[in-house]
Amino acid sequence: MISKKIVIVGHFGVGKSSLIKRFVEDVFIDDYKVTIGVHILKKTVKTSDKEINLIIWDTEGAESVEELLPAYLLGTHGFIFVCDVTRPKTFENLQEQLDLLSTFNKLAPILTVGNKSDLLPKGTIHEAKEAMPFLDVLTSAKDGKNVQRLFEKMAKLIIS
Amino acid sequence: MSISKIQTEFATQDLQFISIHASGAVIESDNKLIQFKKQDFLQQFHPFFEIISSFFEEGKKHMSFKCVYINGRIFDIDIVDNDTEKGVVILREGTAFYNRLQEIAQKRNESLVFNEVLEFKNEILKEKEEFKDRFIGNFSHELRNPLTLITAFSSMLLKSDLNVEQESLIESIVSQSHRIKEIIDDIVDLSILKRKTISLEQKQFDFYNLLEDLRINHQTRAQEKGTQLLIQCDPTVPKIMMGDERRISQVMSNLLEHALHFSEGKEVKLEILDNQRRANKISLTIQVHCVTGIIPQKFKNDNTTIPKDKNNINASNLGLSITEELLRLMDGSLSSTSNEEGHSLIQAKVKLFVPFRVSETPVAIKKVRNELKLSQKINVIIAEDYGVAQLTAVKVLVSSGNFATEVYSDPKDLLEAVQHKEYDVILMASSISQIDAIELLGMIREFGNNHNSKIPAIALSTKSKPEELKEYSKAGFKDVIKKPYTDDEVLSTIYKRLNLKKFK
Ligand SMILES: Nc1nc2c(ncn2[C@@H]2O[C@H](COP(=O)(O)OP(=O)(O)OP(=O)(O)O)[C@@H](O)[C@H]2O)c(=O)[nH]1
Ligand SMILES: [Mg+2]
Repeated sequence: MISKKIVIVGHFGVGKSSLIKRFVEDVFIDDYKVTIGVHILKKTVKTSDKEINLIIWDTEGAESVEELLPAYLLGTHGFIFVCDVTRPKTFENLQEQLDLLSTFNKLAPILTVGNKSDLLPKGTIHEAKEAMPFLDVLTSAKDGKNVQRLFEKMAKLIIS
Repeated sequence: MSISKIQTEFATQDLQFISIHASGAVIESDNKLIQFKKQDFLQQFHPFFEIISSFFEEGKKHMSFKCVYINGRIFDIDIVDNDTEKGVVILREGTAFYNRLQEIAQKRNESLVFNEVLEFKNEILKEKEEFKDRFIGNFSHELRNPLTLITAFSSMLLKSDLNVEQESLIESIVSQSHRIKEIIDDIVDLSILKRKTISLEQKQFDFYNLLEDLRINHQTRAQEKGTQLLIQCDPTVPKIMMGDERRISQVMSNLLEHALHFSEGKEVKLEILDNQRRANKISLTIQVHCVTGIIPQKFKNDNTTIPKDKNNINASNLGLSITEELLRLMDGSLSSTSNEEGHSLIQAKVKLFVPFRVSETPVAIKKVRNELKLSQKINVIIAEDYGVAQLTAVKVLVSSGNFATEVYSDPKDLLEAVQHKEYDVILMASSISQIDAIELLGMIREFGNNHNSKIPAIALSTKSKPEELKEYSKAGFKDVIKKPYTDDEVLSTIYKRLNLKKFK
């Protein structure tokens, strides 16, 4: 079976670890445990015909990708950039960050995620999407919305 | 033990060396930290070691990873190329050190995230406030024009020949439209108070005069309801005090209004009690008793302060909400108690100052000139694009017999008129066909003929905030008449602002 390395990056507290925990173990924890360094987890996903092993690297929160150790980012097959929809600061200079990621692997797809969609006022999801057109997916690690879809989408992008 | 043996022992204490094949299979391991057997695949032990395949695929010589979590422990990990298709993995345990680092990062990040969320919430709150203010502004604007027509016309009707029945009908219209005006003012006031942009005055005033004015103002209302109005003041309360006279009067007036509104009893009593005095500070309790059949919903079963549920403001206790906000601004408070039989007591606590030296205050003189007949008509321009408001102004002016009116609802026509004809005064709505009154006045000053470029202008405004009114006077308006106005207000303002000798 093939293995692919996915790296999750973004500001602190946006829910990177929570998204992975939801995807891998299908649980959510309300307490915030700050990540330092990297945690690596594995999960197998099935796309239309193939099964692939996603090796997911959960990095520590940083205001810029530049603050991360380059070694974490090398040999990556796909990046997920996570923002917190309730904190504009976490997507302030998004394009610059995406450009920086591309320098590590020009071919690796990048998905931008707006997490904590459950905190948006009811009925404003559509509005939020329009207000933040730079986001590919709105997720909630808390209620699980779009989490599975996010990783499956990434898997498809990587093998195609 | 030889020194070199001790050296290697200590230098390698937290280290483990594992030589591997490019496939990730263990060739040899010193097992100082983690136990591996020959032929174990590292990537089966932990997914971190999946990196080994790309290390060899990309032909790297050395890669260094810091702070990697492996099964509950934390390591710095180096991978070094050693011969073709072979390498060495070096583990250095840093669990204790990194756990300490994690605690520090935890504290830092928690406060950073907290501040960011707070900032964002405040931003949203501010936007909501602004929306509310705009909404209230528009809403009061929309109401004031029709209301102006009702107050002005009913006041004019009252002066004509009416039978008793008709007169009492019109009187109710007058008093009810007055009530609506108060509610609108209250709503606007409340929105200002909530934002705290209001400033309090600290001036000397005659408290006894204020009480007398209060009595006069509420007497009629009390008589209408068949209630007796009593105002009692502790004799120790000083006559001259320092504070915001208008606001204090508003507080007392609101309390009385409220008591009158709900009173079905024989009397409504306003009491002023002298609580205590420290240096030149005096603390007063202002209280109303009402013997009432109805207890306002808001105060039912309530023995403490006014509940904070502001979503439920209705017109009758809007006045009380304002009172509460006013008192809060003056470091005072409002509370109420009521009993089973529907007797209730509303208490306002307020702190004022007693001046060391009493200065002479000039007495304000109010003059209203009413039944004035001029021999020459005053040429007035009414610049107003709202039909109902045009009609109101024209009727009021024409019925006095002293005015020749011209109405303009298009700024272009208006500017043309001021170039060719001569006028005595201009009444201008807040905006005419999208052009702001202040801007329009500037254009009249610029383009009007010699005579009109100095024409006195009076604004007819739906705005009521002090800072907005200030803008008008700064722009050169002689006066502002606030909508809704009565016929008498318009006439007396115009007479006051013109040199009437010319028209006698
Ligand atoms: N309401 C809500 N809270 C979330 C969601 N995802 C994460 N959180 C909360 O946000 C906080 C931070 O989540 P983490 O997953 O630790 O964030 P992180 O991006 O890994 O943070 P760092 O490791 O410091 O970079 C935690 O208290 C989570 O419970 C979500 O979708 N909705
Ligand atoms: Mg994390």
